[in-house]
Amino acid sequence: MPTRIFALVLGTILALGTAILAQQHSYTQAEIDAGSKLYDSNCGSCHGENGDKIVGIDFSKGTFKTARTDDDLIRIIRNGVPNTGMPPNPFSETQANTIVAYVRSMLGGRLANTSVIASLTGDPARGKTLFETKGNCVSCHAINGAGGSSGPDLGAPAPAGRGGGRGAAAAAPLPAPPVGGGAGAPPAGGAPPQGGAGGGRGRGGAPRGGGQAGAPVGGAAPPAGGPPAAAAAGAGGRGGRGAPTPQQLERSIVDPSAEMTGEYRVYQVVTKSNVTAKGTLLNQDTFSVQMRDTNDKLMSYWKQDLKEYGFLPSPMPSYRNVLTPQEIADVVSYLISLRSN
Amino acid sequence: MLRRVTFMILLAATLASAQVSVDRITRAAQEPGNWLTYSGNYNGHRYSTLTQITPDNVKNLELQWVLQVQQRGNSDKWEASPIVVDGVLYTVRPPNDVVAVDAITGRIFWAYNHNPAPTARVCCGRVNRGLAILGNTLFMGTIDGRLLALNAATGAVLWNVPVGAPEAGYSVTVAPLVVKDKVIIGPAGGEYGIRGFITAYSPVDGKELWRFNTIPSPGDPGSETWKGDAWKTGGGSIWTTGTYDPDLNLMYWGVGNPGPDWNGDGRPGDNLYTESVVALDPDTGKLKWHYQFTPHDEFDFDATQVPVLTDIPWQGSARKVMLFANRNGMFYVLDRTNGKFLSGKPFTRVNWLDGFDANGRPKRVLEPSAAGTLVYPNNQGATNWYSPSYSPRTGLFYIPSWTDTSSVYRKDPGNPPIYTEGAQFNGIFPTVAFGTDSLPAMAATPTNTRLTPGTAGAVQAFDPRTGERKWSFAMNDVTDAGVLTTSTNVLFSGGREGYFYALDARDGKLLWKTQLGGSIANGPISYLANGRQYVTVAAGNAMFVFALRQ
Repeated sequence: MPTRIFALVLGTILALGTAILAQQHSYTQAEIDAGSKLYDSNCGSCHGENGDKIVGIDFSKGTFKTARTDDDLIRIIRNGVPNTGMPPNPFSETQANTIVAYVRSMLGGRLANTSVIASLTGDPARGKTLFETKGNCVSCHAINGAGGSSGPDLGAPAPAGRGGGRGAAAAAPLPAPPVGGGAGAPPAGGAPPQGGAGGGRGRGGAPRGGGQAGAPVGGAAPPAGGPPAAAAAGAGGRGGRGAPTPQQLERSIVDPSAEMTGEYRVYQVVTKSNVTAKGTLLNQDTFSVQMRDTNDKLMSYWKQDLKEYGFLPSPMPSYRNVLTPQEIADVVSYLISLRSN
Repeated sequence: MLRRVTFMILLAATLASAQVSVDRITRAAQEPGNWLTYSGNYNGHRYSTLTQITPDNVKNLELQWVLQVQQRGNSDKWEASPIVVDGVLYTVRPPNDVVAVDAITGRIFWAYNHNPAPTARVCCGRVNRGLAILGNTLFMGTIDGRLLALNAATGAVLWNVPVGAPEAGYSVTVAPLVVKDKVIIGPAGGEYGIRGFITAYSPVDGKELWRFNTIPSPGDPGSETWKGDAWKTGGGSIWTTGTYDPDLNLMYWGVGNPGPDWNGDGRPGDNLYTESVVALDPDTGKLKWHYQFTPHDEFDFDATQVPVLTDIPWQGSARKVMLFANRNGMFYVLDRTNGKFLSGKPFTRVNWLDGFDANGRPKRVLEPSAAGTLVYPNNQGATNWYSPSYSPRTGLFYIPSWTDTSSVYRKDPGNPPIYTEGAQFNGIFPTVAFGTDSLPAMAATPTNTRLTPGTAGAVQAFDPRTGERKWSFAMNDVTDAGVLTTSTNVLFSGGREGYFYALDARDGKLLWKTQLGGSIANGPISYLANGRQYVTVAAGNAMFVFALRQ
């Protein structure tokens, strides 16, 4: 029996191993500031401003490949990881410790420290009531299937690996920074890339589809301007990618568009022949964009064939002036409780 | 209520856009712009009816985009043949990284990286030969002995089931074959003493639906060709995708070598169904017929080539035949309705047999010896898993070949290898040097100073009706490249030297070539996207995509 319990505990640890790293220490602001400087000059070029530029690593979400503890991070910072792009670095242990302090502070994004609810204690029961009444969040967000479907279900997360797969499930779209300045912004410049692409070449007009499926697009856009939406759009969604932090949930409520994960951001293209398609941005470069449309069809466009492309703002309104900080804390507390249950 | 109706409409739209139905796969010839199966169609022709690229303009091909690998070890080769569906190209970067790519720009829609278990062991590289698709689901075997189903729109894993134990040498390198409502694969591992099989899985949940053991159980038909417990480690692996005849409702798979490879003293008998092609009912997995190319093989010839299906005039009347260019150096024509042997002729230098008996059984004249036995063709075979092509336009069968190569086989008579799970179970590795007949460039070296005449790679064209060699395009080095032909009489292939080239399928004349800087170890394909014809092949660390200059 003890063996079995041990196996269960071990299994749980292993299952969580690649997700959230537990913070061992608390850090001073001075340590975080010192680490920030070292990070910007030594780490940011690879890991990115938000710590999410290396596949499988996302400091803003506390996701690491092998590190389990802060001590692991210090060791990796100083010694590097053989046969990977992570080099050894000539930092003292104290210096490496400040970088860890900064990396830890990145959880929830660089704006995590702007919280207005950090000093408040939420009441999950009040939060549930607000979710269902004053906030009317339930009209767009379901809890474990009960409720609206235009936003993410905010109930318990899906099983890890999205289907119980083993191995490193990493079906992740490539990083997708905003482009085009949002919906309605024309592509910058507009100079036709790839010389000679005029007339019938390229992919002007209707999106191509190999002529097989007719490529219907745009017919199933998420409703905009419907009943008031609320609560954590995206960050609390069922992605199996680790639980959102209270800061992320708060930000999702007060600034929905800023915190939406790519999975729930609606990307829209309008071709020069006025065909509109909406979906999820998967990839983009100087000349082209790739998306999955609302019919789950993989689509690619030359930007020169588009007159508009970019993310649509979240259909969810900000609750900054609808709920008081205490009420936001209550809702956040409620959403966190759903995960801990 | 309105919301529910909306949901139902959405669901219907999603189902309507399901990508690849069984009907589409069966009628793949009607949509030549796509490449829906490993060989392009169920017949195994690797033949495109796209017509934009011709012998006259093929010289105007230019590179459009390149897809690089993300991770690989020293022994990994890019062996995957892509699937193309309505402008989206799906392929596998070695070892088991699936990627969905825009077929025009080469930009990635999504990527899924499978990390094989560290217990995975493979004889010959951490390789994968490609995907299968049904509906909106992709299927991939993995080198750690698993079968995965992925959502083609997102790359999300839908299910992941074990096929065989990797610690015992079971791996899956073959591209699965979808027939009706089943996904069919088998394991590699013939060098590890596995007991092979062909298994059908449900595309819905990965449930096993039937299994055909390529090494029969005691008491089953074929078990009389084994003695003692040798069947338990008898090999018979599967690592090249089979073909299917919907009219006969029969599918055909080539089966690999018996174990151990080079010393058969511990496994007396013919060792069915190793070295055979088996015809199975895809609904039940029941054996309809078999033909064994190399009974009691001790040369590791395998029979893991693509069985090519066509109907040709044979001695005055139309006949449903199978063309099979075997690694043992012989080009076979079989009646695919019943497995009857029609002809077997060497397509390169062969010395291990002296013709056939009346039933098509080869008269073997050589075996490994303590002193060493010189055998043509060599241990890597006169051809191998890389695809041949059949052009209905020319009526010719194109074989990527190693010509006039040999190996010296030695064994300790009466002392076959002892099996240990997870260890290689082979015998004495054949040597490749014997006089001046050394094998060209077996080791991947940056330079080639070999001066041995005769031994080389080639693409050879044969008339299956007569067995006559119509032409041969010789290379200085050997080849692991498959062959693609088109209805405009263009043939694409390559080789270890890194050249990707186009020949005139009628006479073998070189039309165009380009140097890709790495060995080509996969079969080219062609597809249409936005009305433009593309040709793609992987070489070294990358896949290259060409189209006519505009």
